[in-house]
Amino acid sequence: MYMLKYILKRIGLMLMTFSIIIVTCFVLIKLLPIPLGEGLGVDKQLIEMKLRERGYYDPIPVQLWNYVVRIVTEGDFGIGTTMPGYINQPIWDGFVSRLPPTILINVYSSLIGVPIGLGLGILAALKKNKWQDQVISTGVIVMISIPSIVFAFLIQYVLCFKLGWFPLRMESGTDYFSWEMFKSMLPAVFSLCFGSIAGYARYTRAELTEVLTGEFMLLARTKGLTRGQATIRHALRNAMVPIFPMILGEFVSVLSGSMIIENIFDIPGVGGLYLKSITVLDYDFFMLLSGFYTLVGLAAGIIIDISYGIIDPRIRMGAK
Amino acid sequence: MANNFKEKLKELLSNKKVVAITASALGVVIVGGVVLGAVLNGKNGAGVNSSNSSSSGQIEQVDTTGHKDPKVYTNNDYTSQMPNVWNEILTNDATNTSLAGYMNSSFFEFDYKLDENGEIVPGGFEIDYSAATKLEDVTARYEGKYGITAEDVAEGHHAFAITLRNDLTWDDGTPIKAEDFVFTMSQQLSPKYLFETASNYYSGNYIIHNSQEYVKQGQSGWFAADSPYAVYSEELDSKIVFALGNPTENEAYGGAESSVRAAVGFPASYTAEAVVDYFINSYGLEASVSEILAMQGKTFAEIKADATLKASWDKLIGWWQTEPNEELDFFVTEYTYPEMSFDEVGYFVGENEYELVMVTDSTLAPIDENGDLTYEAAYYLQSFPLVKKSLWLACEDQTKTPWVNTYCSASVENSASWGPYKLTNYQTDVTYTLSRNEKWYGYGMDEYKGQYQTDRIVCDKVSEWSTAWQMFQKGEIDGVGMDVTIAEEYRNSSRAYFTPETYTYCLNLQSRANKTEDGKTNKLLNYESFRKAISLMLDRDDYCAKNNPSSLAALGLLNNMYYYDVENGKTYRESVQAKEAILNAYGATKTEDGWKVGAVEYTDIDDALDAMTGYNITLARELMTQAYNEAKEAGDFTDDMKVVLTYGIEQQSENTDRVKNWFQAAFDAATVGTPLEDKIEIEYFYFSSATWSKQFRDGEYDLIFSGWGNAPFNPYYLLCATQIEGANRYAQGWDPKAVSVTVNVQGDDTHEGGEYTFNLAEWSDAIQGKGEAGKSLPNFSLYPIEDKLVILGEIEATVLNAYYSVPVFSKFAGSLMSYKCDYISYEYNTFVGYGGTRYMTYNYDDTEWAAFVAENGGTLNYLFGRD
Repeated sequence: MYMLKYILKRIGLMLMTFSIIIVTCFVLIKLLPIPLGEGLGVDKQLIEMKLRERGYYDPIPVQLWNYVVRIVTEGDFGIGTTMPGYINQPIWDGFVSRLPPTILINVYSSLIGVPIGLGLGILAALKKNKWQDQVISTGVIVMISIPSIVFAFLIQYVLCFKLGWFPLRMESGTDYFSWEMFKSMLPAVFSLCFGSIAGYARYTRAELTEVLTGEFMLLARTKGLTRGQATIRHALRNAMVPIFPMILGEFVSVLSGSMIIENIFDIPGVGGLYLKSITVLDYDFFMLLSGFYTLVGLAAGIIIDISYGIIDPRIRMGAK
Repeated sequence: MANNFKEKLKELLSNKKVVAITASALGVVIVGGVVLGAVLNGKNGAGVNSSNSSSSGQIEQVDTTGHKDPKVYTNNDYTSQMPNVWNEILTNDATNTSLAGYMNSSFFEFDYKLDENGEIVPGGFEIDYSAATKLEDVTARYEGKYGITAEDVAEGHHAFAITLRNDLTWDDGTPIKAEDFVFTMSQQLSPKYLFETASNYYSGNYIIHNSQEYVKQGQSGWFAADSPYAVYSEELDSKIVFALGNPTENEAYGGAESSVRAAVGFPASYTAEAVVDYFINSYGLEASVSEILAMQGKTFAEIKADATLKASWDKLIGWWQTEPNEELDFFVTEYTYPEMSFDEVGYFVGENEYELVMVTDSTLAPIDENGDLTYEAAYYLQSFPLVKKSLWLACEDQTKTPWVNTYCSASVENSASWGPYKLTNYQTDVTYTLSRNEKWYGYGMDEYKGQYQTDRIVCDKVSEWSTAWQMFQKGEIDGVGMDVTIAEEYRNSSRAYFTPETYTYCLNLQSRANKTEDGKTNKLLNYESFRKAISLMLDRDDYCAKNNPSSLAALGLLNNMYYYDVENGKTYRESVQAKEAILNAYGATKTEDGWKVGAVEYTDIDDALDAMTGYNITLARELMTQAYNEAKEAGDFTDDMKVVLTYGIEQQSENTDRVKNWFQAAFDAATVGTPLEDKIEIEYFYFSSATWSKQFRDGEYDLIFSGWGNAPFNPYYLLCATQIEGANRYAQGWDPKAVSVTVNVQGDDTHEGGEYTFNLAEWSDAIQGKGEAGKSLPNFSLYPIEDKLVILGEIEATVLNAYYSVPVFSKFAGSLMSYKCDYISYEYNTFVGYGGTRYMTYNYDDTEWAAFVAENGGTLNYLFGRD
């Protein structure tokens, strides 16, 4: 019961935080000058008339109220005004249509990266200071040190261009679960998962190494458990306490996308949309993305906190 | 200059060190070339310059265009920015209009000129009918209507009737008649939509009668008084309010500003008091601040009724006014644009269902005295917007304010075509495919025999140039821009070609420099001697070699792409007037026998021009010293100060550092041995990409590189609109009204010659056809071409001599064409580009191409040299 109360309380706080952030974003973006266009033949007065009809010159509280009412009553997040590719389009539709590719390449990346990363981390911890550990640690340092953009270009050049194993860019179409589509996503997936593999391997090794030296592990062995049994049943479970939320966090972050990787492989995803919406001053697009990512971030925080209790029953959220 | 240009181009093409061309620019050029071809779609059997073309009956499809060829030819293209709207009503954006170009047709079009052997005449062109069969000047038919006066009738060129072919259809076979164009224009100008593109028809090259009034009808609010009222009369006295304040001060007037602020270019930070102070101290207004400000908030009637205020007003207007109606410049007014029927707009169905009539408030000359088409027909009247009515209405969303329409936006279903291709596949931000529109009137016509071989155009979005380059080598796309990383290696490839751009890039200098703090000042920019020194200290050839290797040094504001006499193929830069403008601006002196450049005297103006580099370090140093003395005497500079100039960029990079360091070195060299030695520094200023020009105009930073281009057949418009008119002029602190220019014109039988003196703003209006016949400001756009050329030369020289926009370079775009296909010619023609899709030919069909790529190991080598 206390867990339910805790969750409800967190959700309440989340909504309050969300509202404060959104109102702040709305006010700040509306305080910026309204762009009226540049160039030969542009009639700024006409543009101003149009924006005035759209309510851009109303007092900010009025604009905020109208914005909220419009979303709540009509589900209308606005029309793209200056965002390239979305001008004259309902921005919600545009945003949602771009989520699947981003989610897929990030999920595939996690599905590949998590087991490999954990496996390498476990192996390195179990073989601490042996050649296997040295090789893995060196590899991890290399993967962490080199930005994913470099891996992306290398993968594209070697695997796609030179060897011809994969297409240079993601296939067109929306049949996301076809073999051709999956194959065309792999270069981006590989580019993304190098960082994940390195991160998981490093954390797992560090956590597991520490846990393996704990006195309770000695106790477990003296109880008659084999090394494997003690490692899996006791050491890994304890080591997972900080790592599992990290995995969960990564799954939540799949919604955010990677601007650089998506650009290189022409993934029609959401990476870079946020930055672009700010650059071109498309207010409605900016607000939609601000709200979406704020909500995702706050929800992720709650889910991660709750997940601690699942991994380690000794941790009880909200208990007195 | 021509020889010089050609030599430099030759040098550019052969110089091993020439490497840099930006990928984005080149991508645009490739797409642009293809699109240009698509725009040039179709012509009827009327032949060249035929105003009385053949009747337009239904045309049978015959096997002459290549589209009956059983083989399939696909042009694979790429773009870094996908179009999402493809109708000109909805967008002006080049990315979007590039796609629209394939799906629209032209009334009139440019075509190659061929010699007696059927060979293309370099630089030549012809104008043909395409979707239209006749163009007539029908000004007399509408005398007394649509604002057409007897004088207009005598002058002509105000109302034109375009007769459409009677076999025009949409891609589903729905007929197209003149009423469809009229419906479209009613939507284009609809006050329910308030499309930004509506201004194309009243603030561009011509004005459709009442177009602005129609689109703005019903709009209420406070405006600058000269916005709703073009002409001042005493009836307005009680309606207009004197207001010099900024939007905050003018909150009671809806934040509207009087137009004098925009005319002079005051930023929003300038209060009414600061404005008046500026008038008094900078422009010599002989009145006190309090006298002028006493009129604030008073109607003109109240000002006239008060003797003291009236006296102040007389001082102000006496100082300001040079043209009629300029009283309105100081006032704002509350106004509601009156309701208006579309019947009052100068765009309607003529005497039959295929006749479309357009009435303009300005003059156009798309046909000559023989009734033949001139270049203006293909340039200004190429086509008008057209939407398919049923689909448009289905896409209309009246629940939004203003209304929204998703016609031709982001889906095949919302799309309709009346051009040679139609959209058959579209995925947002991924790809689109255009296939033949079998209903297009042009297929099967003799004029297109062997043309339009392309069956499909597939365009993928490729964000990174490196990806596009790899795709090109693998045969997946048929053209690619030449990035700096491959330019040196591939410049001599047999598949490389270079496209000149109309843009001239200038270093713009701040015209309202007023910062002095912490021992730093930028006020020397206010001294002409300092600005001229900057112009003369620039070794442009060195700049190009070190910063933009695929560019040519530019000394004029218009480059070699601009024509002053299109019909006869005469480019502006080749004219004596243009050459003299440059010689005058860069320190050459005219002698009895010719021109003296430096210490050398030339009898031939071309020799003098070839010797003119714009770089004169000796004179630059003298001018630096002169500027120092002038500024010191005026109290703007002391010996313990430094001149700090801020150079605007969005983001620091290796490129911006290189440019900044180059300019710093140029300043250092130009101040050696002068009192300004080691006293000039350049610092970065970081602007927002959305507001950079406003920030510059507002005086937030001092130096910015920018380029203006396009409109190669209307140098008058480009030069005046960008350098003189307040809306686009960067030098907002420079007042063209204060610059007097005298020009001697010859005139002709109907236009009086003689010596005319006007200020630069008036010349700008007059040469663009905004003057009034028989009034104090003649309409010089109707004068003989040679007179217009003289005026253009004087305008350019005057702007150059102000030294606020200092030309530095013009660019070329390099590209590679795949082995699969070819343009008809690789000699760039300003009128038809490389011939585009219309003339594109294929060396391999799709099947053969796949086999060819496979035979070559899947990767093609484009390093082979030219034949």
